[in-house]
Amino acid sequence: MRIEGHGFRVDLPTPWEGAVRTGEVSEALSRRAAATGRQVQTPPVLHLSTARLPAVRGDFGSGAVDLLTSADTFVAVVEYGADSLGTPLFDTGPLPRSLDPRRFQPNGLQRAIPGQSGFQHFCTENGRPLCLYVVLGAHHSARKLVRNVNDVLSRLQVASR
Amino acid sequence: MTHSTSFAQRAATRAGQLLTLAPDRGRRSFLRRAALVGTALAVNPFDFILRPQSAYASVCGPANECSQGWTAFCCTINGGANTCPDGSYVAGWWKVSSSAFCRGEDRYVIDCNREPDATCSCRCATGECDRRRVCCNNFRYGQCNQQVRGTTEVVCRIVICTPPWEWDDSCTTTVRTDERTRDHSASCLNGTNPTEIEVVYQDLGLVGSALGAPTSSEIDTADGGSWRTYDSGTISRSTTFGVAVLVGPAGLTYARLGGPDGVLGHVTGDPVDVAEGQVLPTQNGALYTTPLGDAHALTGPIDAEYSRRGGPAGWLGFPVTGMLDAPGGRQRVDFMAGWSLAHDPSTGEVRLLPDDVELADRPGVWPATAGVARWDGPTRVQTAVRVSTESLPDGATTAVLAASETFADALAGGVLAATRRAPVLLTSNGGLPAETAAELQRLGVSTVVLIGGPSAIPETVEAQVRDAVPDAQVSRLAGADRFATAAAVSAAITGPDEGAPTVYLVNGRAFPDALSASQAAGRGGAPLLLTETDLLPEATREELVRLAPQDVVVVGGTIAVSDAVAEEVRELTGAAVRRLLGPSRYDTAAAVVEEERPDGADAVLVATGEAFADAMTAGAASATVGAPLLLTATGSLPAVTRRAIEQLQPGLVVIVGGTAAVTDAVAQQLAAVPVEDHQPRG
Repeated sequence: MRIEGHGFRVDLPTPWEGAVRTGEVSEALSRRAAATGRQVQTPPVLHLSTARLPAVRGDFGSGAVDLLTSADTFVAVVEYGADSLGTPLFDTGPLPRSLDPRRFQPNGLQRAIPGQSGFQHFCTENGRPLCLYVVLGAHHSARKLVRNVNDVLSRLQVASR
Repeated sequence: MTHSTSFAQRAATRAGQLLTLAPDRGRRSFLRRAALVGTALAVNPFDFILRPQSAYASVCGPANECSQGWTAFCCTINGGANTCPDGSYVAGWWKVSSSAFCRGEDRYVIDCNREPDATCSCRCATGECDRRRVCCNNFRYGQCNQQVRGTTEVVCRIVICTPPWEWDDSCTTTVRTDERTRDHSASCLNGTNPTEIEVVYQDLGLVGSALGAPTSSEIDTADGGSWRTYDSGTISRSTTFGVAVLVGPAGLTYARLGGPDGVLGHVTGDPVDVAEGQVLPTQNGALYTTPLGDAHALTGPIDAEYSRRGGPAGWLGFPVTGMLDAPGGRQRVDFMAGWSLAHDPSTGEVRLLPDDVELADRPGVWPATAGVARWDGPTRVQTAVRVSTESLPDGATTAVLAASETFADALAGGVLAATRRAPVLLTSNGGLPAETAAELQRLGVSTVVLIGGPSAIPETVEAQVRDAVPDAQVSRLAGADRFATAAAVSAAITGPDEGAPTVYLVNGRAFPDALSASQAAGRGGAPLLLTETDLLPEATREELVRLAPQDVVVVGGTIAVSDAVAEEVRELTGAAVRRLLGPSRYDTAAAVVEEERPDGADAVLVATGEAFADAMTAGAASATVGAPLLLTATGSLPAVTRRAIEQLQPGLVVIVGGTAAVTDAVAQQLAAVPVEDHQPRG
């Protein structure tokens, strides 16, 4: 299964599924920002999961992570506006393709869910500020689940914008 | 009434108890933020119907227990303040679209993450129903404060309805969304369907804002607006002008005066920073927050006249009172400059008057003032011509010509002019100005006396004078230096064989005292001699011996003429030596006038004391027209000068010089000086 869009491309092995989307904002909000010389930015988000991706889910996976079983993982690659480029938060090198299971922590989650653990990393690849966020369905299976994640990450291509 | 009102009232009760915990914020940053909020939320008629929910769910929303993994709201753990607690910072945010908590606008949840150097321990909040996690989830949204590397625990969450990039400059406009958190809330936050004022107050931080805790319920106004008071200010809402947040003295004064239902009416615009203070426009006037931090409300004709005169940026400065009742059914306001504006409703007049002058009990009766005229020209040369024209409309037999750029020679020449009913005209050393030449012709002079040597008035100029008035006798009074020139002028005044009963002595290096001295000397026909501070020049010494005066008046303090010089003069001449001085050049000028004119004057001349030229030409005119000369600062009328005018009680005050020398502000003040007896203000 190939997921491609907004400069992301990844060939997913079974049973992964994925989606790329951009955010939506109201015209009123866009106008309001424009009135102060700014532009609302809704860069894309890539979601990958071995579980089902619900239609309504947060950019960092709320709603999706609720569906993870102990054998599942969720990956979000969240892009930021170009004004984040070069800032200390994002100036850490390219998106990592090989994660260390020891860096996953039960408290490393947006929302702590019993049994799960997470890892978050801000980075820049091909001029695109990104945040990699990975949730493991079972922290006790981190070694095995992270292998799967690393396999998917190795397939991920991030084109320059 | 909806649930939202009851929630707000509960928050108010708690806020009152927790006020002392509210962090102190800078007023300016707060006001800047408040202005943004007020603008953004000006009008939003969106309304929502509450969805049926359980009691707790309707307050705190789903997943409100610690075990359910979400982070608590800051107001739950931060004394009711919707602000980041100490040791945390704004780290990122997400949006929930079209939220009932924000009157149908987007709602924003802000993460306050632990500062990298701070410590905190993971725990559960103990809110009424918000028992979510505190400082547990190591996670970051990342749109704010991107100068901070890495990720730390989320301490708590703030909720606002203002786009975060407007709320905090460090946040970018990258929008991230999580609609599944739509119903997350806490009992210390607004409920659904809040009023606009409740939204603004929450965005400002609730009790953590500079407003502090609420002190009233929201009050509806007759025109469909509303307002609410707080410990340190007011929020008001108008259907026409939007929401305004008034913090500090302005907000408290606004509330004390009845808010939008009071004399000021609604706030009509954003506050404007002026002269270290602030002006907030209202329907019927304005609120002025002074640099001293107090606030005063001005309304109606007085405020309009104040604005016309430049408001706080004008010479009046900020008001130091609000609208005060005054005798005769009038109102008045005092200003920092020491002046008042008073309004008489019986005539509609607004007048300026000194703040220490009381009004009469009868309406329509004001203190009498002098008329004010100005003798000026575009340059000092042309001002001298104007003074000559005005003071000697029928011409003169003699004119004194002095250099326009150096005062020393010219001052002595002013005395000579005064004794001969002659004007002082000015020339540059580059050539005789056409205006001066024309004035010499108009005057029909038979004698022109040039004061100073060729370095001050070149021979080419002397030749031009001869060409301009070929029938006149042109002579020059000069010495080797300014002291010798003054001595030569002295000899010309008295004649070479005559002494003088009185001689004035001033410092020859600075003009302020000399301005007053030349006037006094000129009016008395007494010579004016110059000296160094600590050394009596030989030319002056010789002239003093020749004049053999009985009285020598030293004008100025010992900084100008030392006691040693005064004593030397006394020993040299045997004269009685006395000083004429005041704390300033203005006091000295007033002292001279007071000594000479104890019975008042029909007219008074006023020139700047900050430059010599106008006062010098005015000094000669003073003797000619019989009007004493007083000095003023360029931008404001010194109190001593004002008092001198009050005592002289003239019918006319003539300003000598243009607005660069004597500003229009001084002209306004001169026109408002009482010139008849009046009651001092208690």
